[in-house]
Amino acid sequence: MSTALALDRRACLTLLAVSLGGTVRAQELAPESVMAAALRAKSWSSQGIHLEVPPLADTGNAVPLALHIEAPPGLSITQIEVVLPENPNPLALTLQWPQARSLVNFQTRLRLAGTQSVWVIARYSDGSERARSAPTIITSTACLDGT
Amino acid sequence: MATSVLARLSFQGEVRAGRTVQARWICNHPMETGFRVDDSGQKIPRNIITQVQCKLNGEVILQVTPGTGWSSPAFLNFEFSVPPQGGTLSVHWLDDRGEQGQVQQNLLLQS
Repeated sequence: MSTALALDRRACLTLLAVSLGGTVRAQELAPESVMAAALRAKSWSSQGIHLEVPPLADTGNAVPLALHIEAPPGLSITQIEVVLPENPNPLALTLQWPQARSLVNFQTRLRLAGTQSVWVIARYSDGSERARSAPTIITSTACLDGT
Repeated sequence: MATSVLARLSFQGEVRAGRTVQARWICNHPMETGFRVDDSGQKIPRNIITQVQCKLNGEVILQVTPGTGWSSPAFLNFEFSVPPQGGTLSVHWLDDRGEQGQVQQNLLLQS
């Protein structure tokens, strides 16, 4: 009888893990800030923007970010902003290319105050904007505040 | 003080005329955010890099304006295309205290 019970429990836990695993997103783990909500409310196209951040990082001190951005045909990239909505200063980086570029490959490292979505906003030569975000979970925050 | 911040610039890939090459810049600036306090409870003043300029033969090809969300050591990996005559790639930085630094590398063209 005890084995049957153990199996039942295990089955239940497996089911629970499977049902949760697919749907857990960074936004659901912590209450979303006003900034993050505002960013999500904008209906930006994300076409041509690829960004890579680790889905899980041990500390927020140096989280690698890789960008690969292609401009729409006939346009060039003028500016890229990296926004971390849950950081005390959300604007982490502004990148500007004075010469017209249709393709950007760029890597850097960011300091994250906590679990959040990393936003990349690209501006093109005609003034239009596109953006994409990627969630990342931080187990231990970077020393950003005095608490 | 200025000499204590070291920076390094290196290239990845074959440096040939017309090729796209990756440049890596790393700088051990403390990037003090201004949010931390020291042992006596005093706020440590903010001292971050406020501007980075990457210049190819003296012409700015990439300008970076960081905030406190940039890591320490500061790290950049960007692409540029090698001019036919070669030249020099340099990276200049400036921080809140007014200190600045520069690192440059010659593009030694491979035949």
